[in-house]
Parts: sequence; structure tokens; C-alpha cells
Amino acid sequence: MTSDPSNILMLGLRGSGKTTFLAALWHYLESGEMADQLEVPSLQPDRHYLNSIRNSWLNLKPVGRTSLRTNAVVSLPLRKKPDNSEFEVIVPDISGEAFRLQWVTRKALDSYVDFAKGCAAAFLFIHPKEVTRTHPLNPMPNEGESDLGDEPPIAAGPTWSPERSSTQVLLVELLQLLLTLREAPHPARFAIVISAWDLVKTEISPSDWLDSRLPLLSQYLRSNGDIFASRVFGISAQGGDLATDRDQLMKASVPSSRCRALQGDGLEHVSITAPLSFLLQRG
Amino acid sequence: MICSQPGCSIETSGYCLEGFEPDACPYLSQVDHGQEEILTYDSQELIDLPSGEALTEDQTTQVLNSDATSAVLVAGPTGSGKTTILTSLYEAFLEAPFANYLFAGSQTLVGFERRCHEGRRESGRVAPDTTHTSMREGVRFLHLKLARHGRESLSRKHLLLSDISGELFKRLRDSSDAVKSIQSIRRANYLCIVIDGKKISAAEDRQLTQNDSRSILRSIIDSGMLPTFTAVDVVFTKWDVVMDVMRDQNTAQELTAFIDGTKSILTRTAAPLKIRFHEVAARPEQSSRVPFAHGLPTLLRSWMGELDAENRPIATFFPGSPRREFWRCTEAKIMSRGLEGQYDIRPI
Repeated sequence: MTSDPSNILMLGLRGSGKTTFLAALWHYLESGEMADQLEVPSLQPDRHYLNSIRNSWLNLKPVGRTSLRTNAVVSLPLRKKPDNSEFEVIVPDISGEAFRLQWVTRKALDSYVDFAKGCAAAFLFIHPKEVTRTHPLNPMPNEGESDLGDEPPIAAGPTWSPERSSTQVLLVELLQLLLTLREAPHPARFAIVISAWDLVKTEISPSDWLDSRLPLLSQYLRSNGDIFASRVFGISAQGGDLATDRDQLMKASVPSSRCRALQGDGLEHVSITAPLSFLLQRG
Repeated sequence: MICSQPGCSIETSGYCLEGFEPDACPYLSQVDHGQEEILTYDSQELIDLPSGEALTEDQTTQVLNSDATSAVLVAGPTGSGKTTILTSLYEAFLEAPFANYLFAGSQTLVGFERRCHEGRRESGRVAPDTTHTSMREGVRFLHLKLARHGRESLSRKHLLLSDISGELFKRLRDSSDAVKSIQSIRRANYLCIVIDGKKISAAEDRQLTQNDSRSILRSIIDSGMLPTFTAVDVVFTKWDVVMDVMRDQNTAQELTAFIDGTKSILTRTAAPLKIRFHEVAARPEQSSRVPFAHGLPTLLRSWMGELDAENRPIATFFPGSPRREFWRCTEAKIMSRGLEGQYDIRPI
């Protein structure tokens, strides 16, 4: 390796697709089934966790949720074309519950704080079917009902509690808190990953989807472009719905071809490694 | 995955202690148990994070010391609509950019969320209310960082909005010592006097309401604590109610004369400070002819330091193609709120 390892965080609530993405990314990079800018030049000594989640992904089974008791920190040795520079990326697979509890308890795991101090960049995962929003009474005309598709409800109650806030408020706070903790000298980079992109049935770019579904988060990213860099991605790490598209997914010529990705304002497909490549850029 | 078998490290290593495949393992659970998770969290080493609640006067120092900050002291009696002005601004940013500003951050998201709750469907209410600020809390500040896109640049500014209880308002009106105890008056860019539009619409309440606003203004000005650059914003809230009452021609004449008289008295009281008047219906009734957030864009632009905000339409500029969803959503919000008259909605 020619440089210090890059510490990268995966932020996101429970079920937002962090571990599934990691499983697909590991297989995509390690198998070399698809030509890509990034590759794994040599195997790292400990691959148990990555291979375990990869096996579930290859078997078309839910990769499973990461428990708070899980302390998986994975190392990815990488080589980048065309200059063939080699480096290592360290990614802890943290339970989504830990991020929800940051908002609820206003406390963070000591191990997370330590990692956040030196982290270079972060993925932020959003599952399109898990986005909750709040609803003002006396709303503006035509705003009483969501025109944005299914949304899980927030449980009502007479007094406010942190569980009664919307997904976008919570995610903005996660990024704000990370920037408060972070001590790394370079500006941070955030890859916003909308997972299970195959569930987004309209022809829309990832950036436009974020604008319409999580406008506060979108404004926050756009208005701080000189403080941190961000890009929005739509990623289908499984390639489809495991319940309804299973037969089709089993027919993939190579497993890596199941992965689908879009980025930014575009509707053209890019590599599933595009978010990682974006995070590894400097400046 | 959670394994209940002591000593098994499948969660981290992928190896089952008993050699089971994950599908066949009787000890392995795919589903996390919420309570168990919280207990697990509590049992680990935890570091305190910022509370996200409204800031005390001391906690505002860091924000006030940054170059671009507007501090707004909002004063009005209980139920006059002070907190609703602040929560409606925040609710607007949850939906789209507002008054040509983008949300760029907030140190008090929890404080905003707590105050917004009774105005949301998630409270279980059918009619909105606003959580009233308790005097025990003293003076608290809500914080917004807002950004404005120019053609080539992006500028950001902090907005500190005081949330003073109605009870404290009474003390400030009646006691010079109480005024002197509020140190943030010395750094206020804007003093916002809130007058309850519903009360001035009722003949039996209007004289006391007018005098309350004059008394608090005089009390704060007499303390000598306001900087000379402070501008006074007088906000008539619940303007939808005022508009309804004015449907009757006789009442309209009488009420207009009273409001004009109030403006004259307050202008004299505030002199030589600059004074501006605003008609606001932050959260009007559905049936009202006044659109949602009526008057708030101009008020916000004034607090953000835009000169003569009241005389200029709000230019809209967003990066990227005007066909973008971002622009489309923003335009839809402006139109649905009936605010097109206050905006120049042609994309630049």
C-alpha cells in the first residue's frame, strides 16, 4: 500500500441497505467479473465477514440486519486504474439502530466517535420505501396528502418524542453531528445512496428523486457545496425484488451483472463502484 | 443477524460455533429485538452529543461571533403567535426552499421539532396549536443557517430567533430590571413586536393590545440596551382573521383607523430606530382567503438583511436546469400557497 488507509463510514437507518451494498460491492470488486476502475489486487488476511454477507447475496437471500453487538470493521485493499495506485479502505458496518439512537438519545458510541474523527468520507443510505414525513395541520392547498408514493406512517401521540420526526430531519442531523465530530483536514465527501433503486418506478434521476422526497436534506447538501462535496446515487445492489424478481435474478450471466447504479442528474447506468470512487476523490 | 449462543462469533466472523449454515441454525435470529438493541446500546461506552434543543443566551455566543448573523428578539404576549411565526418558517423549509433561501443547517433541530408537534397531524389533533413557551425556560434561541444562491456564488447567514414566553413578556413590560437581565437585547439586529391580529379585531381587546405593544417597545428602548442599528419589526399576526373582520365595511373603516393609529404611536415610540410593519398569517385557516405563510417571505428577507425587501418580488434562482424537479417542486409550492404575486417565478 502506498498511502494511509481511508476511513469511510456507512451512515443510514435500519434497513436502508448498507450491508447489502457492502456485500454486492465486495463481490463486484473481488470477483473481477466486470471491468472496472477499481479492483482488489490481493486478498486481505481476514475476509470472514465480507464472504459471509457475500454468500447471502449470491444465494439471493436477504443479507440480514447488522446488530448493535456486531463489531465488523472490514478492510478493502484496492487498486485504481489507470495509474495502478494501491490503497486500503476501512469501513465499519455499523447497525442502523445506532444512528437512530444518536437522534433519540443524543449519545453516540465511543467507537463511532473515534472513527468519525478521522473519517475521510461517508456513504449515507436511504431506502425509498422507508422515508417517513410529518404533516402540518392546516396545510397548504394540495399538500394534505402525499403525492409521492407510499410512505410508512409516524405513530401519533399528544407529546413530541424523537420518534415523531421525519427521516429527512434525522438524516440532516446525522450529517451535522458527523461534521461536528470530524477532525480530518480534508473537506468531507458524502455519497448519498438511494438503495433498492429498482423500487423507484418512475423515470427520474437520483438527484431529482432526492429533491422531491427529502427536500430539507437536498437543500442542506446543495447549500454547503463549498464545505463538503456530495453526489446522489440510485443503487440496486440486489438487482430487483427478492420476492418477485427472484427467477429473473437467478438467470444473471454473472452475479455482478445484477447490480444497477445511476448517479446525480443522469439516467445512464454507471458502475456500482461509482459511489466509492467518488468518495475516494480528493478536493 | 443475532446469535443467542454464547461464544459464537458469526455476527463478526461469519463462522458458526456449531457449524450450522445460517438458514439451519436454531440460535440465529435475522430480526433485531428493539428493546434488546437499546439495552445493548446503553451498555456500551457512549459520548454525549449536542442536545439539538433551543440555545440559551450563553450558547449563542459562538454563532453571534461569526460574521454573518442576524439576531431577532421576538416579543409578544401569550398566544399572540410568536412561536407560530418561527415554526411556520421551519415547516416551510421542510417542504421546499423558501423566500429564495435554502436550508443550510440548524443547531436546534430538536427545538424546532418539539415546537412544531402540536401543529402536525402526528400530534393526534385535528386543529393546529403551538406549544407555548414556558417562562422557566427563560430566553431561548432557535437557530437556522440559510443560504442564497446568486448567479455565481453562494452566501450563507445565521438566523437566531428568540423564543420568549408570554409570561416573560409581561415582566419585560413591567420591570426595567427584567429587561436588563436579558443580555441578548444588546446584540439584537431586529426587535420584533408581535401584535395579535385576532385581539385587535375585537373592539373589547384592541386598546389593551395596542398599549401592551407600546409598553414593551418603550420598556426595551428605555433600557438603553438596544444597539443603534436595531430595526423594529411590528408584526400583526393572524391577518386572516383581520381580513375576515374587514369584510364588513363599517368595521373595516374603524379597524383600519385603529391600525393606522397603532402604527403612528409605535413609530413615535421607536424613533429614531427604523420601524417596519408586517401583516402575517403564518398558519391561516383552510377556509381563509389569505394564503399559507402570508407575509412570512418578506419578514424573513428583512431579517436576512435584504434592503427594501417589502418592495421587491422575490427573485428565484436555483442551480441547474429549470426543468429540474427541484425547480418544479419549488414553483408548485409557490403557486399552491398563492404566493406568486410575491415572487418573480421566471427561472433566471
